[in-house]
Formats: sequence, structure tokens, C-alpha cells
Amino acid sequence: MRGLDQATALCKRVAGWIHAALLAKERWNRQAMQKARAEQRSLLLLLAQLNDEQRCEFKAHGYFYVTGGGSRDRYRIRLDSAVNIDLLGADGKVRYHLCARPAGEIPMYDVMAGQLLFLQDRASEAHFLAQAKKHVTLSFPAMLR
Amino acid sequence: MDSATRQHTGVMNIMDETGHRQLQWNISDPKQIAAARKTFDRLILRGHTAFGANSGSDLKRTITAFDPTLEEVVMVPRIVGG
Repeated sequence: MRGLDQATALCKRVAGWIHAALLAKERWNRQAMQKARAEQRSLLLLLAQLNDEQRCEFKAHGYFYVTGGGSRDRYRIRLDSAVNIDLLGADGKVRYHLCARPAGEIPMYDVMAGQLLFLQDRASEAHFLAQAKKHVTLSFPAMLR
Repeated sequence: MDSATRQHTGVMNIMDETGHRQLQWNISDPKQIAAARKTFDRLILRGHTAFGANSGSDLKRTITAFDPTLEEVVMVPRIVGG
């Protein structure tokens, strides 16, 4: 009888684990779907902020160029999770990289749209640059193009 | 007021973790304008920066006060360095 009780208890525990695993998988799937939907919505917002030339650049290469609203400097904003802005010199080579982004858990395309809006506007470019950290030593392949 | 003005609607895109949420207003509806202005002011107080344009093809510029005649406003959270 004691053996039967132990077996029943074990079965209940295993069933509990399976139930918990199924719930976790469901939750993970839901979160993945929400994230994918958010990425899609943010991509639409980014594409709406780009001009025709920038849209073509972005679709072809995953980056686009922006002219600073106040400085007239040339920036390249890349699809990357960090340090994704390059400041280009007159020769087209990267002078240094910048890292600054809108705060919060916003999708990557929203980050790029925010960076674009700040840099292309005369009034907000200086504020953005004051917040940004400069990085000089990184050399990812995309940055060297 | 001509029919074009009466039809004018504006949209506020507010960046957040869902991609963005949208708030629309019709320029002929004072209640919708008041609601949009209230959201705008709340987000500005929270540190957002607003960019607006009169039409979709115009370059957006920083705005510090809500203007219901704008076609599109994008609210961007405060910038942090990384």
C-alpha cells in the first residue's frame, strides 16, 4: 500500500512538472509572438521616417545615411544592437562610432528611427551627441565599409 | 472651415515596447485634441522628445508644444548613452 502511495505521489509530481513546462512553453511562444509583432510595427514606423534613398539603402544593406541637422556631418545608422552609429569623415571613412539610444525596452527599428529623428534635426542633434558615448576601437566588418 | 480642414486628422506615434501605439485626433473635435494634448504634455514631462511635420514627406523637427494642425508627431523616449 505504501508503495502505491509513493507511486501516486510521484505521478502527481511528474504531471505537475509537465504542466509547468507546457505553461512555460506557452508563455514563451506568446512572448516571442508579441516581440515579433512589435518588431514588425517598429519597422513600419522606421520605414515611414526614411526618404526614398534611405529606404533603398536600408533594404539593400541594413544601414542608411543621415546628415546632421546642425553639424551637416554624415552619419551611418546600422541595424545593430549597440554602437550602431558611425560618424564618417569627408573621405567616407569612419572617424568614430557613437552609442546612444532612446531609453526603455523598445524594438531595434524604433531605436534606429529615434536616432534618425534626433540626428537630422538641428535642435536635437547637439543634445543627442552630448548623451552619446564615442567608441574608437571597435572594428566590426560592417563598420569598415 | 472648408471640408479639407474638417477632414484633417493627425496621428501621434508613441514609441514603446509594442513597437509604438497610435493616438489620432480630428482637428474639428476639441475633445480628441484635448486628449492628444494631455498625452503629449505628459510624455514631454516624462522626458520624451517630440518630432512633428505638417506632411508625411516633410522632414520632422523638434516641437515643444502640441500643435493639432500637424499631420504626424513621433514621441521618442529620452536618449541615454551606452
